[in-house]
Amino acid sequence: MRRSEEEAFVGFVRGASPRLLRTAWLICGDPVAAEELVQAALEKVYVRWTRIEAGHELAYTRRVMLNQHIDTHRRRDRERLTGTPPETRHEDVHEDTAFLLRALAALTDRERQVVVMRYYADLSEAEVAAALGVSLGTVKSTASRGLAHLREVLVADGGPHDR
Amino acid sequence: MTDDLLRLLESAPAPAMDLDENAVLSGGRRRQRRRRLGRAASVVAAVAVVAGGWWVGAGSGSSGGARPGGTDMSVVTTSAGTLELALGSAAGTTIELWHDRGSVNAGAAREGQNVEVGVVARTPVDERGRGTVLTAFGHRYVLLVTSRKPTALTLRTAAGSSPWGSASPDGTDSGRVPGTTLWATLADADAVPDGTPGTVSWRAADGTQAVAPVGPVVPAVSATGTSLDQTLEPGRAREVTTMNGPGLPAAVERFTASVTAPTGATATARVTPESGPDAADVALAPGAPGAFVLPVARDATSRASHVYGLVRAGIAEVVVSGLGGSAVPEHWSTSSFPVVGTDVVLVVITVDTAADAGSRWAVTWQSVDGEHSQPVAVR
Repeated sequence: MRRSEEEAFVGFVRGASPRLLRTAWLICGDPVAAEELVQAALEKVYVRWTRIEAGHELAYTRRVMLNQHIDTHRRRDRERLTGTPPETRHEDVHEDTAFLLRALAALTDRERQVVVMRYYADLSEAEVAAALGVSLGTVKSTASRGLAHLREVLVADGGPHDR
Repeated sequence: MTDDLLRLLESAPAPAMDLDENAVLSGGRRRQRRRRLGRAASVVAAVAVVAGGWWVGAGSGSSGGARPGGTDMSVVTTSAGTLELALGSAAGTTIELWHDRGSVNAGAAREGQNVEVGVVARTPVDERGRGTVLTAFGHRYVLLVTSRKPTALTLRTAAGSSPWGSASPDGTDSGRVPGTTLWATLADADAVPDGTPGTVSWRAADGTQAVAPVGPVVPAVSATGTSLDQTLEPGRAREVTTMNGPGLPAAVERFTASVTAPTGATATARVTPESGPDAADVALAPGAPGAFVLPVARDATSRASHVYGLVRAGIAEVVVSGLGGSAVPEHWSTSSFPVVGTDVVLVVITVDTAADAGSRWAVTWQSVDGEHSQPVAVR
C-alpha cells in the first residue's frame, strides 16, 4: 500500500473507530471482545483498502465486522452476551447500560445484529440485508422479532430509567 | 418503545474502549503478507492481464485448444517443459520485466518480499528488434522477451557492472546471460503469419532455461532479436546483491516463464509491489494487434502441473477460491485480483504434479452480463 493510502487508512481508522467500537460492543456485549472484533475487521479492511469504492469504507468495514463476528461466534460458540457486567467493573456500569445489555442479551445473535445495525448504525433494511448477506424479507422479519423480544424485556424490566 | 430503544442505543454509556492504530496497521500488514505468501508458497497463481483475446492453450498432454475470443474458460493441465501456444494476430516482440519476489529464498528475503511475481514493465521492441526496459526498482527482476518469430537473443546490460560480468568498453555487456541458457527458439514456420490463431510449439532444448535475472544494479537492459523465451534457472541459483538500500543476497528457488505478444490493449494495469516503491502503472501499447501473456510457474525441485483458465470481457475483478484437495492449502481461502480495463484475464494456478487430482478451485468473475463462476480442477 502506498504511504498516502496508508495515511488515508489510518485517518479512517481514527475517525470511524469510536462508532465502530460502540457498534461492536452492542453486538458483543463485551468491551474487550468489541475491541478485538473491530481490530480484526480493520486488519481485513487494510488488506482490501485500495479496492474499496470511495465513500463505502464504513459500510464495507461494518460488513466485514459483522461477518467476522458471525465467523468467530460460529467457531468458538462460546460468546455469550451478558447483562451482568464483570464484577470488577460493576461500579462503573451505568444503570441504562446494564439494562441495555440485558435487553440485547435476550435477543438471538442475528436479531441483535439486525437491531443494532438498523437502529443504531442507522442502516436501511436493504443495507442491513447486504451487510449480512440475507434477503430484505429476512431483515424485516428479524427486526420485527427482535423488537418484539426487546418489548418483552422492557415490559418485564420496567423499561429504562428516564433521565 | 422504539424511541426508548433508540435513546438507549445512542446514549447508554459504553465502557471505555480503545483501538491501537499501530496494532491495526501491523496486523493488516501481517495479514497481507500471509495472504500473499499463501498464494506464492505452495500454489502460485498469476493473473496475466491480456487483451486481444486469443486463448492460449497448453502443452504436451494438453487437453485444451485454441479458443479465439471465447467467453468461457478453458482448463488444461500440462507437464512442465513443453507448451503449445495458440497465438493471436501478433507481430513483433514484447519485453516484460517481472518483479520476481517469489524467487527470493526465505532466508535472504526481507520481510514481505518473497511474495508474488508480477509484471512491472513492458515495452515493445522497435522495427530493428530492439527494446529497452528500465530496471527502476531496487529489487530483483526476471526479464522476459518473447515473439512469434523468435530467432535469437542478445542481452545488453547498459551498466558499468552487472551480476553477469564486466562491461565492455562502450559500456555494454552483450551476450547471453551467464548462468542461464535459452529455451529453444521457435521456428519461423511455427508462427501463424496471417494472424489466425494456431498452435506453435515451445519446448525446452538441452540445457534449457532462458531467463535473465536482472539485478537492480543494472539500470537498463536492452534486447536484440525477435524472440526470447526465458525462465530462471533454479539449479544454478546465483547470488545478487542490490546496490539500492541494504544488501540483498538472494538465491533463486523458483522460476517463472512467460510468453507475450503485443496486442490491441489500451488498458493500464496497476502493479503494486509489496514493498519498495509505490505502485506502477503498466501501460499496454494501444493499437497493437492481439496480445497475450502466459505466465508459467514451475517448482524448482519437482515437475509441476499447470491449470489455466481464461476469462474474457469487461471484468472488474477475478476471484479464485480454493475448494479443496491436497493442492489447495488450508490457508488459501480466496484470492482476488482486480482487473482494469482489459479484455481478457488469464488465470494460471500452478500445482505440483503430485497434487491430488481432485484439487479444485472456483474462479469467479463479474462481467457486463452478470456473475460467472467456473470450476477449475487438476486433471
